[in-house]
Amino acid sequence: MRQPRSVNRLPAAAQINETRRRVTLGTAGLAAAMAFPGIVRAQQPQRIPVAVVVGLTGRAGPWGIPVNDAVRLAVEQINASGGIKSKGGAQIDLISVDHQSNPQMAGTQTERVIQVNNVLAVIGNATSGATMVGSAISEKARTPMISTDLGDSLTNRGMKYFFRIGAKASHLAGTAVDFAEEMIKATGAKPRKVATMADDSTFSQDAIQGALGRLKQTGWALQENVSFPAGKVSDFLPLLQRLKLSGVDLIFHALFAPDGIQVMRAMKTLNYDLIASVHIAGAPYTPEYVENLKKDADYVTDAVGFVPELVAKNPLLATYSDAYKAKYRRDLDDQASLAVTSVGALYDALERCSDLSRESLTEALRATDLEAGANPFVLRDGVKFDQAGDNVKAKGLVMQLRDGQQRIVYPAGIATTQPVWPMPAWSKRA
Amino acid sequence: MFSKLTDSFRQQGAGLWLIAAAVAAAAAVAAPWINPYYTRVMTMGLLCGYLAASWNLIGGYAGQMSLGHALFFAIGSYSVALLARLQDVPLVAALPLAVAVSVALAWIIASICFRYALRGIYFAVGTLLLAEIARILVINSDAMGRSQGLQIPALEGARNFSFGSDLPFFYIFLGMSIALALGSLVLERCKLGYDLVALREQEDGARALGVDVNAIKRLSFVISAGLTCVGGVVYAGLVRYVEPGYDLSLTITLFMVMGAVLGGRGTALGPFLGGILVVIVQETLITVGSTFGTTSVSALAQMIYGLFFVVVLLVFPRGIIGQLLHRRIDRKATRPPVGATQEV
Amino acid sequence: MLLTLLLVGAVSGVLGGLILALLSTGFNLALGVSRVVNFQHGAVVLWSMYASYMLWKATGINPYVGLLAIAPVAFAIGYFLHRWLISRSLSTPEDSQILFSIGLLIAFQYLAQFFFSTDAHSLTEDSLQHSLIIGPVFLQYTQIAAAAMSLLVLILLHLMLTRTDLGRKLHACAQNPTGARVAGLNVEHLSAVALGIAAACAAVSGTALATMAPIFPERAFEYSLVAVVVSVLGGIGSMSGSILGGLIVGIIIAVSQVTGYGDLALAIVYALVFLIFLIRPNGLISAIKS
Repeated sequence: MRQPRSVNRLPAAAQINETRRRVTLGTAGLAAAMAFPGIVRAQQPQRIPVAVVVGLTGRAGPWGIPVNDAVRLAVEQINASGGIKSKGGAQIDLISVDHQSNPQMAGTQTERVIQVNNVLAVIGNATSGATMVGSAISEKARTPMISTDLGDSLTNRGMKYFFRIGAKASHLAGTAVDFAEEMIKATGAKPRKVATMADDSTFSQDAIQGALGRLKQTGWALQENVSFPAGKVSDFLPLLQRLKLSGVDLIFHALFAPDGIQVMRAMKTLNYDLIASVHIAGAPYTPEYVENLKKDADYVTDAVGFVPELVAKNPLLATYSDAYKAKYRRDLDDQASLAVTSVGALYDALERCSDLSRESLTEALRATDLEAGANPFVLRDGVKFDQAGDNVKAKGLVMQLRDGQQRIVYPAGIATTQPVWPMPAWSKRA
Repeated sequence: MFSKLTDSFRQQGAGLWLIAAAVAAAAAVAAPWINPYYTRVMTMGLLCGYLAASWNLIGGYAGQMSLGHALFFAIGSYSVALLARLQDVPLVAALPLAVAVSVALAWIIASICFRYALRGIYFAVGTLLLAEIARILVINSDAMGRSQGLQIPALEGARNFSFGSDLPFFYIFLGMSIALALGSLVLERCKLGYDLVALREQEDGARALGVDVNAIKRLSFVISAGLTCVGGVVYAGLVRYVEPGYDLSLTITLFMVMGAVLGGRGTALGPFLGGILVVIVQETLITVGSTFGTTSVSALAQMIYGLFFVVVLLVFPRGIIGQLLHRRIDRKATRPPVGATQEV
Repeated sequence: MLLTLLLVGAVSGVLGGLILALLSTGFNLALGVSRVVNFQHGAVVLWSMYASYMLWKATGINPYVGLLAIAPVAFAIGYFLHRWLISRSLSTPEDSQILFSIGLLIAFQYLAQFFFSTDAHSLTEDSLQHSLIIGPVFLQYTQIAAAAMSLLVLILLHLMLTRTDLGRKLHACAQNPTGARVAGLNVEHLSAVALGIAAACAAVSGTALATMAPIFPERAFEYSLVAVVVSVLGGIGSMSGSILGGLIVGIIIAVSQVTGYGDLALAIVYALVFLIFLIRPNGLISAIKS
């Protein structure tokens, strides 16, 4: 524990008492430090070890890679700007570990960074399955874990050291359906038939199950829920033709860039006109989607937690987002923004925590109450954790691609433009 | 049985086994004191060794390369998950059920495959296809948790393998490994063991000698499946999460197979050495990768892992222990018999 | 509507099947001639996709024209890969060899991730971005071109194998390697040639696939598995077998998607192939010929 630098000017007797108090506290502190390895750091507050354990190779790669990239850049910037000021400018020592999309490995690596590298906190584990295992380890070791994952069940395990930054998959799915409902009410055109389309990855399935639940309440005619193996379908024409022939004119999608690109191309080939193509995270926010489809990507809508436009409103956040773009040559996306906000929450908690121990850091995290832009790394709506570890300020929004740009169209309060609904027919587009 | 053990020791050289025993004893004593991460790595090494040794029964001793063993592993892990979620069934009760299912399924598969004389690449690819079919079915099944997998609920008590820490798992796997190693040794010396050698070396000849080749293959396959399933059950107790992307993947099958191939197929100790080595190599690669911390280096680490297979197979085609034993047998064979006159 | 859908499925299946056939033929040929299971085939296809994409991105030339440069390079790589590396693995027990090639697959796949990252890239050649509409059937030019190219290469291969000297020698190796050696044929060289041809076929398939679907590293394993499945289904070592196998697999997948069982399509294919293993291990083509 740090001794205050200034010496109190008190009468002699009081000073002796003061000294005695300090000595007692100091000894107690030392004893506590010996007993709990995490606190040992407090004696030399020069470096704060933190780990990010995600999948960089294997099927979880597309989620883990942006998280790792974003966290590394954020930590670099924090260190460059003076580290954690309340802890004497302590620098963060970041360790990035690949768990190879292997849940058992996620557990082992989380164990390693906690037990061998003595990290104070873990950011991980991308994706939900790995996080289930990794967080069980961090919970047992009483080490806080901040997760960018969106799987619903992560926060209903009664854990005390687990914090989730983003809106749950089912919440995003709900936002997507809410948006569609509002648009349909506004334009008065009810869809003939609705379909959902998802690949078999964990995120997409979570999202689409959420959508299906919410769709039941809309009273629309659900034609079917299509699911297909991620990345393995080389020809979407037969599948889409079936939907077209059945009269489906509104589709909710949860799929990723490679498949998303093919689906859109196939729709164009088939001259398949839809009222709307509403995605839940997934493909449309990725740079590849727009790069590959160009004008054909326009008018697609996507329920996400973040769009680059949000940052444009706040110049403080631009420092990070410009640096990200310069280093990685792509705009910030949903996953990356979650990762940066995680670092933002961690940064804030590290400044506020009473000492560099896992317990106090966790306490500080629980007390988090940040608005967007509270520090240069809180890119999203703000952070405040509830009992279960969910971020109550995490909200979904819907963006529409227009001329390759992501424009916020819902909710009305933050919309930057009016949505184009229904989607213009292929024949009417250039 | 004891005489069989001593026979084996004498033939293979007690040296290897003594070393193994010493290492196991040292690990057992050190486990509670060392950093929990190292204990976990040792536990994973033993898991890999155990699974490799189970696979060894069909893949090594019987010489039939099964690439679908993930199926039995997953039956073990999924049984624990499903039964716990549906009926609060404790792990120790789920174990016999899982093994029964694995054994029954293995019996059916083996009967079909061996009756139709599936061998070599056909057997390898055929079993791989079966595991893939299972994976696709699970991914499309709501009851089985689809691709997200299933969380095993936190039921209390030792009968659920819910210990305060992961340390007991180290001892459980150590015990299982010792039992399997000694079991394999006994197997080598009994009739089944000899029949397996005949089958492996020269199948048609063995058949001509009256060995019921199909029955033996099936028996090995079934025992191997049951043992692999037990490994899956204990794994589920440790990790508490099952998902098709790992439990039913080629990744876990390769995990098992490489351990056996690297260490030495058809030997009792080989798979354990191989399994531990595979885990050590993986951990080393990840650790080195994390000192750089970038995606590209991690990809490189995986590439080296692939090359590791390639190099090992070139340098130790019989596996490390297999190579050692082979040389020893060669040396003994070329030593002139006592008392005989030297041929010029 | 069902009839329309089945028609759509059948057409899509045939076109897709031709591409699968080409993907597998090279693999099958190498398997027949040298008895080597080249599980790394899928990685060779993947690398061809990247090569095709990079060439197109840098020069803008039509990828099928770019093939003229890529295919010979692929041939050379395949030839020397066999000569220098794979032939060394032949002394190991037969089934260890499959693990050897799986190791190569993993290594090549992650090498690709190292260079190209996991981002999906698309080869969108403008001249191919149109479609042909015949009644209810919609066909993309990319598909037609890919299928036509595959058919062309398959025909050329067939002619090469049956009419040329090299073809006869390769055939002899496939039929009876010991006999071939006795007859004075350089089996090692011919096996390497077979793998070279396989790699060249992979290059053509890779180029075709690159124009149709986004490119990312995880596809390598799936391509390998398809090649193995189609080859064994049709008949190991038989070119016509690969074509038959490819068409059957293509049609099953397309019809499954069209009738709503798309997610189980692959499982259906695998189950069928497993049955064929049992009943007709020499592949369907032998069943038809006999």
